[in-house]
Amino acid sequence: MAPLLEISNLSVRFHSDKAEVFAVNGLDLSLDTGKAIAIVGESGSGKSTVMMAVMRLLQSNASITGQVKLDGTDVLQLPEKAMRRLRGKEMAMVFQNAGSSMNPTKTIGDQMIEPMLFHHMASARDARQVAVKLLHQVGIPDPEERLNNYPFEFSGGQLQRVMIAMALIADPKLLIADEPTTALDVTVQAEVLILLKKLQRERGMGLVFVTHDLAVAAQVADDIYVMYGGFVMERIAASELTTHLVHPYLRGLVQSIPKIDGPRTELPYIPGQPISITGGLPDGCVFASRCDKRFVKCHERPRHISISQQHSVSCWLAEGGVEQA
Amino acid sequence: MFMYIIKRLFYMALAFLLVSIVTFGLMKAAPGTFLINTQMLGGVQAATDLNIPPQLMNSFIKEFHLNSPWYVQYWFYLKGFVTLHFGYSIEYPSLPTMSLIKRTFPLTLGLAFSATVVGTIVSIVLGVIAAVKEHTWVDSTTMFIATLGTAIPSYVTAIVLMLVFGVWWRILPILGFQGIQHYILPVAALVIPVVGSMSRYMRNSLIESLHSDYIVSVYAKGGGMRQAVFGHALRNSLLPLITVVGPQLAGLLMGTVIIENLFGLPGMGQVFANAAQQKDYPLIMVSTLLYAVVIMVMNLLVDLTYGGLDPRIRKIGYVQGR
Amino acid sequence: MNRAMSLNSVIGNREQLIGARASSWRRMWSRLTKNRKALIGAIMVFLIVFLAVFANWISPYAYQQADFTSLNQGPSLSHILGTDSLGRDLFTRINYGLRSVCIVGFGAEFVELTVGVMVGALAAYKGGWVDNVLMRLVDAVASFPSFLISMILVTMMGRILPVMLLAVAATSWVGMARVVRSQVLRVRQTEYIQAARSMGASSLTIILRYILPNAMGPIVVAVSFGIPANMMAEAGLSLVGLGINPPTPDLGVMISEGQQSIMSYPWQLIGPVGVFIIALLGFTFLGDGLRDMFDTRSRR
Repeated sequence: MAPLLEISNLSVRFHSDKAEVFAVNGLDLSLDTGKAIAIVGESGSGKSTVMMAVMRLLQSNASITGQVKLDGTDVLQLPEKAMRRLRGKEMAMVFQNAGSSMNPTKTIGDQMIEPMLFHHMASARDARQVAVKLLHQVGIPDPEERLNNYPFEFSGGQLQRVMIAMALIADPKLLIADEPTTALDVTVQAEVLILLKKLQRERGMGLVFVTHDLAVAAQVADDIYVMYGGFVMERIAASELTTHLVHPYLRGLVQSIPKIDGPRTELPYIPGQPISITGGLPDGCVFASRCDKRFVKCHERPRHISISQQHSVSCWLAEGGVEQA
Repeated sequence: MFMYIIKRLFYMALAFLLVSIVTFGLMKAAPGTFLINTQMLGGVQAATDLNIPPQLMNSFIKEFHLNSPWYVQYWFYLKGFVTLHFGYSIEYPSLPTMSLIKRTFPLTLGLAFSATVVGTIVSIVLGVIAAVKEHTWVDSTTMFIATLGTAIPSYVTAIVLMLVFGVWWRILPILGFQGIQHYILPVAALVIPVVGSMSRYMRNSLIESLHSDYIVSVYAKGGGMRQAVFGHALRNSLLPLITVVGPQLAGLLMGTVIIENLFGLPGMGQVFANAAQQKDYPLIMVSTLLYAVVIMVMNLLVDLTYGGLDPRIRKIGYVQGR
Repeated sequence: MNRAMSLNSVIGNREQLIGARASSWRRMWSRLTKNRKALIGAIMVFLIVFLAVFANWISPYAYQQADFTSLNQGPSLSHILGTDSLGRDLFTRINYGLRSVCIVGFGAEFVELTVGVMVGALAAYKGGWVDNVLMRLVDAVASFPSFLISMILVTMMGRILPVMLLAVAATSWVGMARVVRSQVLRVRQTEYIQAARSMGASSLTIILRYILPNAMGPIVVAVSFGIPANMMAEAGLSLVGLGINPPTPDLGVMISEGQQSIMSYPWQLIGPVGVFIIALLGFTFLGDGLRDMFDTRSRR
């Protein structure tokens, strides 16, 4: 079966007066129906840009090349009108900051039913029925009344639930969640994650989860893509994360997750600062400048090497076999 | 919302008291004012200075309680105004000031009102066009013309309009007040500066709305430019526009004073200008307060409209982060 | 991972900040020269002020010099903008008239700035009930019928330049007070002020080195919009018959007189109005340009 979402060789560049920003550089990714993947990276790694490119919601100064196939159709080739028919209906998005991503002066009911109205799927009255049901599913009490409330009358966690319900109202095949829990308190964060995972399983949707938090990614996703400087450093199954990882960057990320139990030791971190992708890219590996295992070969850009079906890595260390690393 | 209205009304009352004190104080301090004349000292003297007939002066003494201390005078001034007992003036000794106002004020209000309506509509249309075509020649041309409009006051615009339409092309009258065509140039002159600043404001406000996160959500839900502008951004950018309507209206009302004089329209502005030139203090005192009340009521209406339209103010009385 | 990231971002921000400081003046200058609107505005303002200041040298005639052989003339070689009903040279009178307008425009702005800075800074600094009382006062004055108050003041105290100046400034200082207050509040809240305070900088140092330079932008912009507004008010007073007493030449009075003979001698109106428009546009362009330079939000 063909994958639900298949991205090949996607590159995104932003042009401004002063410089060019190489946000995404030749990214490959695939997601099967009913599966969840996570894209993990620091801010500036290009993780959100990838998904905004998939939705084609980037600003006009972005140039996108490559292929983004949704159910076999390359969405990058579609005219804007056809693209609009996909947005909100075939693929929907949950944004990071629910507070600013909802119009402050319209009721959440009016905003929730918009995907159904935009795609002529139901009358406003029927759409509100669906909205009530969904609000109930995402755990908002008294959904009928809450429909007439404004965003400022909800807490952050509730609003994020409303956003999830809004994204699901047109029953999309692909749900993109861009750091949906980052702005929330830790306890609320877990609830929303569980909810998101449950809805994804029940509906058999594909889920792309964008986050900077590796631990969260491991909870939600089947496959994890780790991005750095606009490149995928390593793609790995969530179950193999702690045992089989190869890339020094990913190793650094895993090690720098603080542990509550065990002796208190100095927390390891990755020295240096994230690479600047403004202006140009280095010839070699983008992570080389911060890598403690770099050697002569790192002056060349590493290939993306397949280790197993679900595991691939962009690092010269993988060339000579995994175990060596 | 109820507390919001109460608060507004309270501020308005404070502002009214302040303006009445200032006016009274100025009149009291004015050289040769009738307000300090007692019957024994200078009463007759001032009357002759100001060419006030003795019987009128006597009625002033009674009306303004000139024999009592200043606070009593102030009290009766305030009370007289609030209860709409405007008395008489020096210029029009036989015409109650109330009738004078009734005869002239509607014209002034009509000018201001029609200019406001036309100006707001044109501003919104131009602002939306410029914002939707942001960074194109349509945008820059519209905004350049708008800048000219802001820079030049209504009376200069009026003079330019008079020269073009009245002197060179001779298609519109520049003096007089009989017939609708006499009002085209005055209203146009008042409208242009309003459009200048309000359309710029509208454009910037709409652009800001169009760049907010919730507009990205609208696109992500499958909406297009039309849904983004008319479903969401326009409404949210009209809200801040309403807040600038208040000061605009005040400026516009002040503009009518000069415009009426330029075009020879018999409105309240001309009455006031004459009163000022003739040092007709009783008339000045009443009409200043009248203008102030109109400005305050307009500001109040603007605030209430704003409060009613923004659900955050309607429900909790304030907007976070403002 | 989180800590590593926050550490990195702190380092990154500091380097960006240092970089930004070093080049900010050069960037400001390059933006000024690139900003055609501001440049054109500055040239127009310079021209106007030049005419006003050097009226004695530039003008071909004396402003009161009447020539009864050439009344109400159009533009010619000897009178480039024509003459008025007493045969006086209009170009000369415009130069001197600009002087009155500029004195009121700049002078009233100076008064507004002084009062506005005092009230605004006091309100922002003291906060609490002082702020509350002062701002209620500002709100109340803002809802005054400002032009009428100016008219009353001129009526009361006479139609001379100092009175005109004060009459114009009497109500319009409130705008400046609001700008100053909001700027001081904004700058006070910023992290670099808190950082400076935490490092033990004195209040005076903080005001002089941090708050004033950073609050300057919007105040400068307000000044460059305030001056033409004052000029408008001054000329407006002339148009309702409360202009400066003769023989002092005044642009507003000239416009008012020209308007009365608009049908017969439009030239007597075109000269003064044209120069007045140039003056107003110059300041507005300059203010617009300055605002674009200072305001990072409107620069996209």
